Amino acid sequence: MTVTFRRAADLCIDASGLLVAAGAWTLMIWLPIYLLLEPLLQPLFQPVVREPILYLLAAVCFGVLFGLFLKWIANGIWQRRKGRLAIGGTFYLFSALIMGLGSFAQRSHPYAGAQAVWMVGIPLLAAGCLLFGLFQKRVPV
Amino acid sequence: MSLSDFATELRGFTNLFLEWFDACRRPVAHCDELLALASDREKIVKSMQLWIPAFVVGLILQFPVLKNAGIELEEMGYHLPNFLTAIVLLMLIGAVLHYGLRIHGIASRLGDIVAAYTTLIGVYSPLFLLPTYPLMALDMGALKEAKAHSLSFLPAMVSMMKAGNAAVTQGYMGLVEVPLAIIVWVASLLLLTFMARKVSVLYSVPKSKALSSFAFGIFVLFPPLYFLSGLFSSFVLYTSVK
Repeated sequence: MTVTFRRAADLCIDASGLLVAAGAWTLMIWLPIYLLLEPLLQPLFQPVVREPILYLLAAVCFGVLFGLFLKWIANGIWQRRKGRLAIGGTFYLFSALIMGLGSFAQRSHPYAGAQAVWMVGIPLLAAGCLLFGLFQKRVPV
Repeated sequence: MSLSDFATELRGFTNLFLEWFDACRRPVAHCDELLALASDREKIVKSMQLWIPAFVVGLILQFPVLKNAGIELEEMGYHLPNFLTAIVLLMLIGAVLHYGLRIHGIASRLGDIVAAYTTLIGVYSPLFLLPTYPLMALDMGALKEAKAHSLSFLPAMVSMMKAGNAAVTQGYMGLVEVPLAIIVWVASLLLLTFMARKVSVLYSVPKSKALSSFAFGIFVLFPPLYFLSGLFSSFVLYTSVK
């Protein structure tokens, strides 16, 4: 394996971690803001659908906790921890599977679902990078 | 314009293009060069000087689409606000990354971050613009049609977005535009990662800390600012399309 390839693969693994961290920050910051603002914005939309506040709070708690979990995974990916690389890779594989199955459901005419089919490539690529990362040395913290 | 004037213009553009090409060819060398400068102001000024050729190349690439939408080169009501938005956006990205690093306890300097962002990512903006060309042409066409129907700003924007979305999700455009957009997106993510690693070396901090702060800056601090600047540039586009 050439040095250039090794460096490129290393960069791709870090980028996959950045993608996980993006999801983590979105869940921890934007999801609570969106869900907590929803009751205020609801009267602007027709028909008005009011979710019980308890549901919103539960969703916020779940989102924040899952965001923290993703943040922990992202840190593990950047430090090349085998366990978290494997969890991250599996997570991406599942995402690709769900997106792939979703795209089949949209195939009502020739071009439909083209977007979803292509989008499956991102989690698949990221999963490949993370699984490759399993063979790399651990980075000291 | 006479032939000699045209030749002079072309010579000027060739110099500009070569400057941009050199910046794209040796991003790390340019980055190190700017980082070695003494003051923050000097770093930002030199970064802007390096970024302007990239902006001009991008503008020239956009000309056919803009002309089709009725925006000419002389239309300063479009080009000046467009330049201002682009330059403000560049500074804003630098600022959000800088504050992201500061929030994570890394003593960064704005000049360093703007210099690194410009040399490692900003100079490639014309290349990122190319794949969005078909969708941009479609959006401009939709906006022109909306204006012909005398729609006001927000309904015209909604109509433009609907047309773009329909073309991507239901038309052949999705087959072309989506993979191109994915390539651009993946390339920007890789460049951002590369920049975070460069910053971690520059400030001697763990790579994970720099990457985490970049994710925070780009995905938490930047979206509201991006939304506002997008709204402004859309309004400029709406007023300029004929």
